[in-house]
Amino acid sequence: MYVYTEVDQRIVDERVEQYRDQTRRYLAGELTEQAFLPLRLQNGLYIQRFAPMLRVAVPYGMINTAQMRKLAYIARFYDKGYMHFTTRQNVQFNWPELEQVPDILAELATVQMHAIQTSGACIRNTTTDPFAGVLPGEVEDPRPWCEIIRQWSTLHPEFAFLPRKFKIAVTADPEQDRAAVQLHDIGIQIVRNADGKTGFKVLVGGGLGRTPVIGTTIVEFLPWQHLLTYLDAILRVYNRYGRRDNKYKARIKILVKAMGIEAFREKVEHEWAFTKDGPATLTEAEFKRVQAHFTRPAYQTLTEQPAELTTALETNADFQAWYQRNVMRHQEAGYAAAIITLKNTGAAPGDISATQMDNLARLADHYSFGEIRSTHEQNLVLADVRQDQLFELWQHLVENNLASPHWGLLPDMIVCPGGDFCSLANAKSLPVAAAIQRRFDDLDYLHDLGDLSLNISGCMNACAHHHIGNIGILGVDKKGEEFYQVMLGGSASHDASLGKIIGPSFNHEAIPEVIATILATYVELREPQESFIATYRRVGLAPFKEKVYAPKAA
Amino acid sequence: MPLKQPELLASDDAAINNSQILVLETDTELEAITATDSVDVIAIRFEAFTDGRGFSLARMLREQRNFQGTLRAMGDFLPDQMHYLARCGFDSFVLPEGTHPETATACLNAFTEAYQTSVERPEPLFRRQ
Repeated sequence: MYVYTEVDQRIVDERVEQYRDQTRRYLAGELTEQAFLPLRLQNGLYIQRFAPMLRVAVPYGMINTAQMRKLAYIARFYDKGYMHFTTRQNVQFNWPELEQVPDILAELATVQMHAIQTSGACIRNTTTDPFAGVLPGEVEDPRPWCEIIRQWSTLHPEFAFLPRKFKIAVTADPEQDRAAVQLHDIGIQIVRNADGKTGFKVLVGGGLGRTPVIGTTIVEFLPWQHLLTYLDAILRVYNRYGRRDNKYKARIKILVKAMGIEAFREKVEHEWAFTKDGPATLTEAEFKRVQAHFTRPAYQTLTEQPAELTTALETNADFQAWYQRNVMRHQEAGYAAAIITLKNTGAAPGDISATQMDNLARLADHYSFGEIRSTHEQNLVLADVRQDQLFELWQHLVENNLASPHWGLLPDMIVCPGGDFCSLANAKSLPVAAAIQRRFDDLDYLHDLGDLSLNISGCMNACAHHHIGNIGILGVDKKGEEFYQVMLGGSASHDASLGKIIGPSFNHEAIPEVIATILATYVELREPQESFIATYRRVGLAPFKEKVYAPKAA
Repeated sequence: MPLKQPELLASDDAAINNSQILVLETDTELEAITATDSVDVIAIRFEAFTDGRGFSLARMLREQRNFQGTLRAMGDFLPDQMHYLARCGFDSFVLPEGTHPETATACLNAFTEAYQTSVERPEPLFRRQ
């Protein structure tokens, strides 16, 4: 994992002091509400429905155990004893005091964390695949590139007042895209050309929100040395020409659509010509320096499927159920990645208590080289667990209520905080999620349904990415009442697609029954081994629509 | 390395009108600017402090046009933006009304290092370490 240099630390420390002074000036009346707004947003502080909300950056989802313990401490001391993982691998505290935020940021700086650019019209946290560096088949570890992008984007002098927020995601897995790069302002796929040289396929103008768009390729192969100059050129064209008159039309996707990709690319190439091969061109030495922080841990020589594992699988059905869903294969023989789903009925998806955080830190130290990753599905990963210790680890996870065997199944929903917390929301999302989880609690049925994503957003800002759930639910306001639109067929992977609305919206009591009908229709129509999304793509929306809106027998 | 101390002007400062000035809006196209060689001062006027276009325009004037004269920020900007503005090439500021020069100077020097290339430090951090 990346370790700060003296300069990295100094920049973060100076940022804390800068923000401390800005808070002081705001409280003293020297900074207006309007002037303070972008300053606090660029330090992660929102004013929410009930209290401020502080979003802390988790660069590309990597957290070490010292950081996790610090977050637990902050949750206890400055908040209400819990924390929330977001859909962009970051974390949020829902109840900090505005006056105490500079102190929280200073605490974070002691463990090399910050809240820089976690909100506001600027370049946000760069996200990637949570299995980066351990995944069989990845082109190479994407994390050094993410760190290089993190440094370039941090306090970038030219791009702090963009038309709108700007999100970059990176993937290195040619098979499956777990970072949803086609749905980001810039998506980067690490690729190798015919000569075996590393480069990037760059997509631009993807995104969700009110106008969901799948990104367009702007360059098929960008040699790695040019990454930062090319990013600078894209950002400059966006900063100069992105719409500033209407915040719903201000994202880069609207600009790319309006200009057309050819004209947009031409502008980018024009800007790039001034800096290409200039001083911002990356060097081998810099890449090597950053890459050296992401070396493989001290793996032992182990064998696949050791007796400790196979025996436990034969004798413990609960462990077997968890193992089948929540354990991923690994590059190294005898190791595995274990997924911890933060989706327990009754708790908000992505929430974790300070006690769970402390216990998880202890487990990560003991079983996974002291590192934890967050995923954009609001889950956690212990990426380097010995297979012969999986059963032991699972038993500890059970004790901490962190062992739900649901990864990638229906109850592993992505859900925004919704109307319970967020002042933008049209409708509540958490109670709808809980009602669905309560209705579908038969593990055999869930396993039989197999891979299925269900995403619930409380408004069209789409924080829970409802357009790319296999089943998407969107809260809407109808004359002051909360209703829910249901859509089918979304996907976030390399075959990304946007869901289609099934028909008129439903009230919240109806939703579990609607979902049950959709699932029953799938089970009826599927071919052997066919996933929900594959069946949907084969049969289309019509059969689902017919069943869901069929007149009910009295 | 601290930033070069820029010129800090009050909004009623006579010096503002002493030299030959070209005043640009933030959305002025670089191609539309022809007089960069014949003026001492180019001012970019910010209608709103959230308008980031002026940051890019300043860099383009410095880095693509090689403008060596005074580049002045005026209009609606925050002292808290002056560090970034200076790194984008501004070396003169007409301070918004009510701004203490000490606040402006403190904001200007908020950071002692930066990762990116910028007008005052054309090499990125990774080439200077």
